[in-house]
Amino acid sequence: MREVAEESEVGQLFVTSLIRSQLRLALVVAGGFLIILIGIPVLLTLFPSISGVTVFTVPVPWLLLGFCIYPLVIGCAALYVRSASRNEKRFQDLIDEF
Amino acid sequence: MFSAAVDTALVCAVVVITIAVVAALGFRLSRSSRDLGSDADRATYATLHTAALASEHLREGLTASGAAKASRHLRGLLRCDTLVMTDDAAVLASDGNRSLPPTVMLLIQRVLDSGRTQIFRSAQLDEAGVPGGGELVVAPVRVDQRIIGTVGAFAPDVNAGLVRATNELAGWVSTQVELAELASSRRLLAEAEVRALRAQISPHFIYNSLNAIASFINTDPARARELVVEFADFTRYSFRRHGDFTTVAEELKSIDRYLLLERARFGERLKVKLEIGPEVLSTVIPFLSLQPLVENAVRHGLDSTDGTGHITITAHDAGAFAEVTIEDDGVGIDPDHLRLVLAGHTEGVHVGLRNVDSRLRQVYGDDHGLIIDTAPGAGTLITMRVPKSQPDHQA
Amino acid sequence: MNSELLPSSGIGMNPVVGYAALVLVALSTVLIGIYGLRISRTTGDFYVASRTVRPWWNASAIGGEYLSAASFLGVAGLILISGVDALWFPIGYTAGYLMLLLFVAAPLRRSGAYTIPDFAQARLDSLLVRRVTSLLVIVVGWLYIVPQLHGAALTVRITTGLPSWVGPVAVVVVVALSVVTGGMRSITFVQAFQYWLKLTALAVPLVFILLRLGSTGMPLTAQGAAFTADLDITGQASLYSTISLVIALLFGTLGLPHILVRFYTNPDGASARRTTLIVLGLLSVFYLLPTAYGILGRIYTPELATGGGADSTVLLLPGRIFDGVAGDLLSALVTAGAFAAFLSTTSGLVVSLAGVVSQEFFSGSVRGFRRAAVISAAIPLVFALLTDTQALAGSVGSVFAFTASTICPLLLLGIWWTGLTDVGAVAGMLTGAVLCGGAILSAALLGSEAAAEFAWLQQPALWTVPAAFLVTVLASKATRNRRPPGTSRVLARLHSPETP
Repeated sequence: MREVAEESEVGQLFVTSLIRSQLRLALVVAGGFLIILIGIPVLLTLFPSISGVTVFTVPVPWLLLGFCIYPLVIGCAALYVRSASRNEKRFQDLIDEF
Repeated sequence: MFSAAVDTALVCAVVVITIAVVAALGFRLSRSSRDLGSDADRATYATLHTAALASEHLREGLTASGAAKASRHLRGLLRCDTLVMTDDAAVLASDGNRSLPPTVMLLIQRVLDSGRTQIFRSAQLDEAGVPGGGELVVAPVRVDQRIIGTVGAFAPDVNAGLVRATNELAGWVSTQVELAELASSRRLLAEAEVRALRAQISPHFIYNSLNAIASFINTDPARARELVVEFADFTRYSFRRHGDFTTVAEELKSIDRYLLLERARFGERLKVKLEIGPEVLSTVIPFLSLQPLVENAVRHGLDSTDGTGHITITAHDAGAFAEVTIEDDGVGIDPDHLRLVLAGHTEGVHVGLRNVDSRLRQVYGDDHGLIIDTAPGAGTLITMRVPKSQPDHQA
Repeated sequence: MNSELLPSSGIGMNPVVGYAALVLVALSTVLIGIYGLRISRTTGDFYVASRTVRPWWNASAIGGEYLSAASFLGVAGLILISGVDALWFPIGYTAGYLMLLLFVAAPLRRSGAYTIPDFAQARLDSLLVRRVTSLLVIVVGWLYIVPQLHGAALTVRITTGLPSWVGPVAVVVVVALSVVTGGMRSITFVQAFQYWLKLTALAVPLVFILLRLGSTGMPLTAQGAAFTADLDITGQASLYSTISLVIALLFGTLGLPHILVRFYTNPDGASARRTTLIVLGLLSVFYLLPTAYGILGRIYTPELATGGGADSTVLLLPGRIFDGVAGDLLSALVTAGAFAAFLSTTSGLVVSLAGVVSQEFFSGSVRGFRRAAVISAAIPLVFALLTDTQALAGSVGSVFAFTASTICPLLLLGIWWTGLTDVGAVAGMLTGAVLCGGAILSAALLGSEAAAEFAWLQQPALWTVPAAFLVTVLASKATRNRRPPGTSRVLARLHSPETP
């Protein structure tokens, strides 16, 4: 199948489409993650009062940065892995039927 | 330097930029179906794919068995109750929920005679003794202006869409039947290629393996069945048609089958030990480069004085290289003789070694030939060093 | 090295405990390295032995190699010193793998390359690019080994009372011997073992500490005082520093030399992705632990913040809560974990560096590889012995910034952009190296007094990474006629899924 993708002109087109969809997916996930990530210090700087809020004596910034980020990271990663595999599956279908 | 004002300006800049980036990405994402196909596109190529599947079964022409398989796919395309395919004399196949009496041919004969697509209402179906009611549309299949059969579809109410679709389907079946002749010549070519490849496996091995399997058929049928499967897998790998490279893992799996078959012959006389570092399993190596070495070790090992062959196969990390060794405790090889063999001056039993050696040198350079430590009566240790990094080769 | 900062004998720590932990870890590492092969004599095993590594194993190995001294000791130390700002380090270390997953993991595995210079050459078909990349990889590797050795010095000094130089020398000797003798025949299981050892070494003492604190009613967070206590000797990080640090950590992970080597063990691109996903899980779980140590340290070992020994928080905390044998045992466990951290990261780096060095200078022979391994381990040893122990997490941060400014543009643009040329790649890498290296060096020369004004020199990633990307793109566009002819074929290979 890779041979098809590498040698024929149509295969080249399919590959270009695949690369573009994968890049778009990666950029979207990375963009979303970075916005949230960078949004945290931005919010804390804009609204310093947030730092005073505590949950069970733990201030919110500590809670966000020390714990809540990690599920977010894993969530983004799982989303990406599923979508990237789906893109590859679609690509495979295209090539197979081709 | 980084006063509060600068910080605030920076924050605003970051917020503006991120919003712009999100907007741009969102816009592009909304059109992301463009590349790998929208749902409509996917439906289209699902249809084409079904057609391709059906066409496989029409490669023989319009036969009963082919039509039976093809009609299963084709009914899905028309989304009708029952699809019927006939040749110019009888029903070949029908797929769907109703059983058709032979009398349906009375109706279909009219299409064969007229050469035009016709629709039969429920009254006409009753008259012909076809149970179940509904309506039937039948279109002729033509090859070279000759009508060789028909395609028919039953539905509760035949509408224009179904008529058009049935017509198109009949035309498509015509084309497939015309192509059937081309396909048969292509098959002959493929068989010739496989015959050429088959010469790579030692005929002795095939003969001996089949003999060993035969000997189990009466005493241990289950084992014999297993061995036949292993044999089939082994030959499938060796007859593989694509690629000059494979991975250590694949090659080891093939060796496993090979040894299983050899053990069927030699039983406890063959003792094999395997030590594998899992990180080298993905390393790319030339196709069939380990198996001849193992074959060599088996032959030597069994020729040893006590008749029991101990073979050790290892594969492990050596920095940026993967190192594979194959060791036996058999009769060994006379180094002078070996030198002649590797230089290509003599033919004989060690020709497999030379073949592997020269391929390795050709692919990886002269530093990567086989390293063979041996002496008469002292066993043989063959070492192969392959770079892990091979961006130019793929398994 | 500065051993006056702390008393030369262990702070209330039984030296026997230290020795036992160090010897046990070194021994188990060597033994697993030699006998960690899959051995089989029967047919069923044979199938198992030739089956490629499961993502779980592989992910553990990657985690084991990645979690270095900076993670094991440095994170808690930095939380002790600078509080909430330090939490960005574990986030960056983890999220770096997210970026790796998104942009690099599957394509790089599919490239079939074993080292980054191999990838560079295959992609751009240029010996010059290969040379430059090799040079940068070697520099990055050495810079990354030095903090590991500093961590070893600290650990050995605190746990055994031996002089500082013993730790680095011991680590280098163990690593070099196992590589040179060819003893490390299977590194995957060694590294996987090290991950779980490190996790256990932090988790078990933490559980005991929390139980003890809970049962005796001693404070966990001292009504939030743990979070607000003003131990900060670094001053609050500006928004600029924070963002720049995050960029460095996120994109620096992509180019670390020992990571590609572990990905090679995955059978294909899709499993490389699954592996990375599991790595993210493993790292996330792990980093909760040093964070907890850091917070507890702010209550129970606050005096370490000012003595320059903040990195020893993790090592000393169990001994502060428990006395006698229980304290000794828990300390031994933590010490073993710390030693595993230096050993695994150092050996991973030395092996991958030796691969690059031997290919570049010794034509890839067996003897060349051994020599290269000795060189790769010895030079950072000299550096480590000559320089002072910095805050571990911080010095590793500079290495990440350097990698992000040099190797990251090559990888990202090489994988995703057809327009990259050899001239562009070299120009970008050199720009990044000069700007980032220059900034870090001048910040070091200016000293910590000028810290606040020169944040842009101390944390240069935010401007050096874009600069390197920009130069790469512009130079590539200017030399568009130098695009290698096989580009589209190489990209097709990087991105199309393998034939099943």
